[in-house]
Amino acid sequence: MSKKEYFILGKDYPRKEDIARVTGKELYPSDISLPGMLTGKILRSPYPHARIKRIDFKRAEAMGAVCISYKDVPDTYFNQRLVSVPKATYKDWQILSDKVRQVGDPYAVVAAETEELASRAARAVEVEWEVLPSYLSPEESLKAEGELIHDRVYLEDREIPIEKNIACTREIVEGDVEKGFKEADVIVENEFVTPRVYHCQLEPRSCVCRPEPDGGITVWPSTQALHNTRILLGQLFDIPLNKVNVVRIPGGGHFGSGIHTNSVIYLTVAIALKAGRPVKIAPSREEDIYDHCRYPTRYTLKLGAKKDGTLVAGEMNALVDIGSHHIQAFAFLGVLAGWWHSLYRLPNMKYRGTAVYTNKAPTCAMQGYGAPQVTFGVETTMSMLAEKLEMDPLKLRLKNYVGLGEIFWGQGPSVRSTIYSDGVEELLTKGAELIGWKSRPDPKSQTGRFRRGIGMARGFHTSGTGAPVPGEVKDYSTAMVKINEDGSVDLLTALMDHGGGTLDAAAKLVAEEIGVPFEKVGISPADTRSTGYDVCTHATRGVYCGGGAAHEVARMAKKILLEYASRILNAPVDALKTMPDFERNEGIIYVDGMPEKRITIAEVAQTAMNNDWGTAIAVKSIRKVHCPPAYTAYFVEVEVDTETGEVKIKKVVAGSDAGVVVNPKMAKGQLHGGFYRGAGMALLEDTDYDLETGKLTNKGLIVDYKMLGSADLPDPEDFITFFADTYEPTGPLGAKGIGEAALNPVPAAVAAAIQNATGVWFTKLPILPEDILNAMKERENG
Amino acid sequence: MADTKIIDYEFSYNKAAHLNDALRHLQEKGTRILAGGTDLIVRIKTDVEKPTGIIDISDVEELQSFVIDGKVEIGAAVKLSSILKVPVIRERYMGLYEAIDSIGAVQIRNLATLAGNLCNASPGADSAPPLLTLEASVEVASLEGENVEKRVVPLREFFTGPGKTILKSDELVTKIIIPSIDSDSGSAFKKISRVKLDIAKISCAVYLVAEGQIMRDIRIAVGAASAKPKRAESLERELKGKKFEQGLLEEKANLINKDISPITDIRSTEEYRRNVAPVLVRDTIELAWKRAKGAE
Amino acid sequence: MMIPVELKINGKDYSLNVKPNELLLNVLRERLNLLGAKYGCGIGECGACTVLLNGKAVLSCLILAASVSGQEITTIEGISENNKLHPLQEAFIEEGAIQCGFCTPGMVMTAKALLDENPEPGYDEIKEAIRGNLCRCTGYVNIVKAIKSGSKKLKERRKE
Repeated sequence: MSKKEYFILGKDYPRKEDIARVTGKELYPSDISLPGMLTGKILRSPYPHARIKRIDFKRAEAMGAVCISYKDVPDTYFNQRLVSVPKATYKDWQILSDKVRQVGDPYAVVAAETEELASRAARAVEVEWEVLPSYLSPEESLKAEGELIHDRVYLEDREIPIEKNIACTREIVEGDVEKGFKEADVIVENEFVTPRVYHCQLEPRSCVCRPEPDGGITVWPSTQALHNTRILLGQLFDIPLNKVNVVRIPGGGHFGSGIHTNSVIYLTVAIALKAGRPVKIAPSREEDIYDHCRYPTRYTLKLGAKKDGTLVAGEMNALVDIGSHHIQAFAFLGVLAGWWHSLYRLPNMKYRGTAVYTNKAPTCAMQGYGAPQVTFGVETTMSMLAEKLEMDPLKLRLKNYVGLGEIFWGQGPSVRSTIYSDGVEELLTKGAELIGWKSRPDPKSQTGRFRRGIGMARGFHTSGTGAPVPGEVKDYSTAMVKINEDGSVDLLTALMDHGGGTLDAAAKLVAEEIGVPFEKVGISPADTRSTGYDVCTHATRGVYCGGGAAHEVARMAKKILLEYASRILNAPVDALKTMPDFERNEGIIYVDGMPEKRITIAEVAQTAMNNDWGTAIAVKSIRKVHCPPAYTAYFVEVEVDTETGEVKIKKVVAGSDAGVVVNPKMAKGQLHGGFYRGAGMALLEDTDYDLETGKLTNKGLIVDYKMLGSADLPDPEDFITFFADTYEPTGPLGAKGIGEAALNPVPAAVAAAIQNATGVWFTKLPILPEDILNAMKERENG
Repeated sequence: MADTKIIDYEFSYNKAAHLNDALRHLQEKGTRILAGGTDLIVRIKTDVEKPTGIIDISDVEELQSFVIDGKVEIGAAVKLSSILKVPVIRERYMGLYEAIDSIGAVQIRNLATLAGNLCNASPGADSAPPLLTLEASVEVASLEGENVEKRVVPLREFFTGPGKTILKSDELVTKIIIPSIDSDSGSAFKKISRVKLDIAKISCAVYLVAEGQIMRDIRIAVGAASAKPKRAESLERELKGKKFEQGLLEEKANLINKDISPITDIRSTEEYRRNVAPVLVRDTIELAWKRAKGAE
Repeated sequence: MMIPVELKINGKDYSLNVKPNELLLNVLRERLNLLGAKYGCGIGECGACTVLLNGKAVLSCLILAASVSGQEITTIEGISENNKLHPLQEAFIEEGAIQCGFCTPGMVMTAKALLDENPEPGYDEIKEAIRGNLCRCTGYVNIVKAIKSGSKKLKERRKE
């Protein structure tokens, strides 16, 4: 199949939300204000592990505050994330509990007329604590002798036993790994460690809830999952789902921190129901930083290859410190194996993953969902293997990568699908050319204080989690497309735009399919009462799955439109074509081969209405049966000051295989942003805990959660992006995803560049100047 | 847990019209001075301080003075960004210029003051090392009855420890005084930090006077490497009067570790600070030398 | 203690009484419904609350409202004239410099203050000027480009 010339796809238009965003008129959850609204404050634990012996709201209530603790809310067990199917969903959360499991764990909520009063009332709540022994590292957790972090965890309705704070484990075996390693000529084994990165989305996760007179609720939350939030709120508060209205509202950044329904959402609902009035809770940055972070990993990875570079066996053992709760560590353990196994062909593999509770912030998805962690180890190991084999690292990769026609299971063992488009070779070849790969320095012969290094890594993400047979993950989207009487089009979907242009992409797919200029497609406001289920805008599924549904439904609406047109033009439907007329800003329907026999879409829609034929409208839920890999490759040039260990990024070449690129400028923006966050993970981002107090050493203040800034990054000219020329046959008009793929190989690429400059392979992230200096010294001392 | 969204308690607020007024308010217990507020408001929000009263000195005219007349005098209410706009500072006091330019971001420098940066007495205050090398002093005022009493304190005696100065609770810094500098001098400031927008892991300022190939005078100060910003006297002694040579710098720079007593904190480790201190000092001396020789 | 405060915000005069502990950011957002400036960190690290005070970029989360009486404030809501976008706003849209958009108001205000003072900044000057504005989405590439192209647009508009 080949690409055709598109009218709309691949062209840049101002994004539909941009005017509001650039004029300060876009409303985010923390901006919403309603008549009679109270402001809520969440009370958060000062201890890493403790039980409430007594809680007294008298003084707070005397100040006029409404207060709730565990005594005032349903005691249901649940999981904040409903993306997985029930049989794979571990439930260890309660709305509020008498037990706190981390510093910053919510234990009560107060609401009052003003934020100031709420804050004072919060200070007036009296609590007596029984402080419990805490576990601040997985090693300590596994040795637990005192009270465990969780005593009750449910899988469906079954209580499951918890031993030594182990949340869950997974083992996956394919082939015969012992036999495989025997066949290997070269084996490389290392331990890799990746950090507990904080999303630091710019808007702390917030929520507004209005109880409705009919017993329902309307909610404006920071979330990536409108419908799962609706379902969870309905379950928790026993409200029929047709009375739970969750409104789509842009969030000030997500990066995975809102795939689940964060506690601020149901706590806002709980206090609003108690107060009988609208309540807003917009937490502070310090609160938010205790609410979510990326899964940190520690794993050993062993790969064996034959002399010719063919991989024969691999073994991986991962330990994941998940913090205070499950936000689907089970799924996470599955994808760790999936990302690994789907990067390179491994006939024999053995994987064991263990997720352990600790008294720290709960871990959840963050851009890449385990892929950056695993790709770091796998790509580093591949480069090490190439060194040992004295083989070009690119050649080794091209020989072994999982590509066209092969089966992969990036999203875990239950999500298997076949690959139909593959731009890997183009990404590696072109990227190498653009960075000057062939003339990269030899780390062994580098001298002088400032040393340049060039490194590369490749990776992928799945476009969604669709598979031929449903597995552990839900994945479908619903869309409605309606052709209006003036020829304009409404697209209604619960899909979300986190900033990457997802909704515009869906609108473009609709415009292209129906044959109208982009401006003619409007994105309707959406809420859960007016839209069908959409699992979540996550997993790089926005364009492929969400856009795919919109595209499919547009085709259905178009079919109706053409049927109406065929009555007017007196020509069979099969002979009709559509196209946008950009000059007149309208869509045209014409008879193929007789372009003069034409009519505007507006005329057809009007005639259909006036003749009582009906509206050209369609709605459907669509599940994708594939999740094609969105491949990326990064080539990075750094300069290392070998006397201070400081690393400067000098140049970046980012290549992406996103199939047909729908929004080129926004897609490039994904690569820029993915690089920046990935480089931050490689070079400095982490959250450490004080082992005495259980508090974050940064005290929750971002003055000590440093991220790369504008002045730490290269000039725009030194950031080169390109796209592979591919067409995804299972995608909407050839498109697949990009989002998370834009980050996945970055930490590995940065580490490889540092190795090229210093001669040292770092296996622990972040790679701080302190580490580089120590390693250089060790190296000098032999 | 701190709340950086609001300040949830009440305090009194007064805007001083003149120095006398400011000093009178300062006599009330629990009153804190607000010049730019970029530190004070953060300290209040994060529960580090809980003043009962705030006296805002940003409009006091006497504290707005900026005198350049051989020596330089910078009033306590002068914003950091205003200092950066003065051509003499940019051209002749490059160490000071670079240090101020590295404080926070432009939004901070548009509010914050030099006196504020010093009075917070952070061991890593960027402006302190260059001012120490310039042998600056601060003028301190207090009220004796109805009269304003002033004293001048050399900056090197001003800091007493992390967050601590010799200031009494009713005293106010009115200006910073920088004595005139040699026409053959050059100065520089460098810091190592996690990212550009950051407090230093370690910082260094150098002021030196070149006479031919000789470093006739050299003053070195280091920040974030001791309980307070301080001069590196042992190293200065070793270098003063010596010929400027790479070899000498390489050989002597390690002495910096005699002058500092760094700790491990969230920004870096003691070991790292000790490792890079000689490098940073060398780099800063080289840059100051180039400038003294008019080569940069 | 209530303190009378006179403010000129986006060219319009306001008189209000504030308590000493009220922050300018919260007064703008809650009392005056100017929601463009955002809370992102509250300690002057993220720049999301940036507004102009007498033409200079400042952090409204660190300013007591009582302390700026008699002064002029410009927010993102006040920089487009007669519904015509400021050249910087146009440039942000054209260059794809906006993703989630939460940092955008503060970023545009810092950029405007930069261009008012330095109409033709180089990349280094732009990168330094916005180093106090955190954007978690874009990696800054398109923002830096937009400020550069905004400076050109502004120059052209001034010629008109």
